[in-house]
Amino acid sequence: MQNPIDGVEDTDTIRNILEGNVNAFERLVEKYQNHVFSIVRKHVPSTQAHEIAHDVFVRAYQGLAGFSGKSGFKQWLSGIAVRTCYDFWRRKYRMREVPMSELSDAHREWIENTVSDDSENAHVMSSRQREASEVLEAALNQLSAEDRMVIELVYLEGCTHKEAAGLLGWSIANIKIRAFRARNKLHKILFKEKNRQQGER
Amino acid sequence: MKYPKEHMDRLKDALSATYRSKAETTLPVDSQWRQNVIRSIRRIGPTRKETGHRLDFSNLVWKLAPAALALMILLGAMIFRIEDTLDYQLAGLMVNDPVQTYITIEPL
Repeated sequence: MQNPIDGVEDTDTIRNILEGNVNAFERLVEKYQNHVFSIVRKHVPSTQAHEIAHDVFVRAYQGLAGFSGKSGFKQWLSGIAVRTCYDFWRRKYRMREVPMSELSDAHREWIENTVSDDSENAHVMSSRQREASEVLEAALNQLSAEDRMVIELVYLEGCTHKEAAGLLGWSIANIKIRAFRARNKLHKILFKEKNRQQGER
Repeated sequence: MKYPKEHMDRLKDALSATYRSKAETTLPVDSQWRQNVIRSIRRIGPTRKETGHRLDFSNLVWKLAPAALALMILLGAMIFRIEDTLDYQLAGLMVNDPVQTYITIEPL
């Protein structure tokens, strides 16, 4: 929740910028750079984070005249950050620059042990961060840009459908349908090998 | 295939924890990066509050785009048909008008 004093400060700064004081935008960059990086860092590879965060602030500046102030600047900026990440993935998928690798045996083993009833084993496996992060990346890379963003926001971050809809600028119904389908796709990707093995037996 | 709910929940928890840990790793944001952003902003120049009329007009343009496209297709089809008919009419005139044909064929 945004501090009301921050809101007033932001409104003054924005008014100042819209009156022609371009340099005043630096105050907003300084104030919200960590917030923007925390969003961008989750959605795009770390090697791209600086460039995407740069784009977020440029877009925010270009759209500042259309900022109504209803939801607060921080919330508005979060939406721009999420949509810039979404555009990044759309571009990547269109140019086929996303590596589509199948999950390896080590990844399958990680999944098997994580879902197993053996709590000690599960604890050890969940602490193996490298495998976990590789499984996550490989699975997300096999989804479309739209499914990827919805899975990240709803399934992994725990945003409500309404929050995700606000951030992506889509309707709540669209988010609900896509979240349901994307979750099923993700489960199929993660358990594909297991199903195949069970089918062979 | 249906998967047991507790399996799904365990996997979801592990993946969510991994995902959240990405956000916790802080990236170095130096003043150089901020200066680059400001430089890009200065290059764009001052931004101003758009007037109500201009906003309304830009919204209207996009709302009317599908209708304009349909109209263009319709007009295109009409022009194509008219051109076709004109060719036939001209050819018919040439064939049915011996005087005109004579003039056209032997003007001297």
